[in-house]
Amino acid sequence: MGVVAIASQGLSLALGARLLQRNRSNPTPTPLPSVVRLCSSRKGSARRMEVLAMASFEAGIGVMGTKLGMMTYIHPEGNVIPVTVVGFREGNVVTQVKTSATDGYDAVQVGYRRVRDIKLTKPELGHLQKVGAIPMRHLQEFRLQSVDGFEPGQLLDIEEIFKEGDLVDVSGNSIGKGFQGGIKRHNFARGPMTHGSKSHRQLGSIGAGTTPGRVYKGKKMPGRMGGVKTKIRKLSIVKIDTDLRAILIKGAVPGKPGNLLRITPAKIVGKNIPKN
Amino acid sequence: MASSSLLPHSLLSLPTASSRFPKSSLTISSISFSLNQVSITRTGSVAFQPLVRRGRESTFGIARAGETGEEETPAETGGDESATETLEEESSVAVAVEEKPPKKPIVKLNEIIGILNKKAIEEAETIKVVPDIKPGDIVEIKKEKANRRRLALYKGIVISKSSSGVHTTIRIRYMTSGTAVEIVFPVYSPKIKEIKVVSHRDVRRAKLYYLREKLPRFYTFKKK
Repeated sequence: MGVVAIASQGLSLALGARLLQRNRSNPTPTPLPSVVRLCSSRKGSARRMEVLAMASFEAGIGVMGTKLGMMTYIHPEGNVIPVTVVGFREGNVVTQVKTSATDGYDAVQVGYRRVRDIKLTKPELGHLQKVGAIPMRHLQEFRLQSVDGFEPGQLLDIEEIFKEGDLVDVSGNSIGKGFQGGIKRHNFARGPMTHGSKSHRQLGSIGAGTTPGRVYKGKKMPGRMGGVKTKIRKLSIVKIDTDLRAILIKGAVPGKPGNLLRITPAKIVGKNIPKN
Repeated sequence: MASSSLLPHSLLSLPTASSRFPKSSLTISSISFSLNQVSITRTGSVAFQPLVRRGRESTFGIARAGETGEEETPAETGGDESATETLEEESSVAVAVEEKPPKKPIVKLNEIIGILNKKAIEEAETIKVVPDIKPGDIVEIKKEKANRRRLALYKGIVISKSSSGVHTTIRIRYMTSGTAVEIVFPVYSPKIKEIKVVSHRDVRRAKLYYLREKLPRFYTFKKK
């Protein structure tokens, strides 16, 4: 069940509670957008969820890929560029097209990575067989402004979506670092190592005195670090290799080799961030 | 090694043929089992191991579209149809047995980086031939400068080599006008126009960082 992020402008707590209630009874695969306006029909029977366009859209359809590792790309000019090699397993098939009429929002659901059918549950298999797709492990949605031109069962071709020189956003699960202290997690400074100091890697002070008499929420403290979804923005595609089915992306991407990546066109303010 | 006496023993524990037939891509043409005669055929670089059924003699034919008879068995014993079957462990090699257009070999994801490096090195070799460089070699390197007018010449001793595909680098140490200099050159860079191994000094290390503490005469070379 996705977490409903309630927009801070003018939603009352009561409405928020009602949203959570409704969400529990009617779970959706993707997190609901920022604001969901519930209008009760005048006829009294049907309740329609009208989704306001305050959630975030993708700048274009994306694909899923696998991080293979990093290497160096030597430009013909002589520049030496560190690149990440992203490979593509069998997949990137459109499994469902959601429209405002049927689901309340426009999105394209894409599958990735073929697996044996015994590895999927029957409901998952049925969902994929409905469009005649191969059994796939991962399903992700790309929320778009318009879903014309996407059919269920369509194969997404990397060369049509991206070309060399494009800027992309790459998101994936970052490397998990476990329980980490303030210095590694929040770039805190160490205490002195000598001169009689007894505090080397501790947090130091965590607040003021009697006023406020408590520690603020969100105080940076030790905790689990890494292993969460991270997005790296505006990476450029250096090369697209068609026979090997791999692309070279300048820079580093989250995770270790073998990690699932979600590659979408970069959202640049003023250029292709869809307006509401 | 096609002795029929050995093989039945070694193949006792093999699973049955029915479970080993691949579903999608059949690489077998025709199979027949004969009790005492076991033949191994070799076509090209792919070895086939026959499956022996004891106590049974049956002919089991799976015809492939467009395939005629025994065109793949040069080494047959007797007049029987030989039993040939590929075991289903690793069949990423294209089987060029039948007269079919050769299938493109499936590239595994973990091989892609190796292939990309090889391709990049082949491309770089067209600009210049990179000799085999070892630490202790005294090399002359001609590198193109930014203004692209003259080639800069560097002559020094290789104190370390870091091999990593197309980003293989060598570290050159030399002395110029009273200053010791160490430069790292990416060997396959297109800006390096020539690498020539002039001579070699016997060293017993892979990395000659001890030269930094030695007298400058050990890394001073006269440029002609």
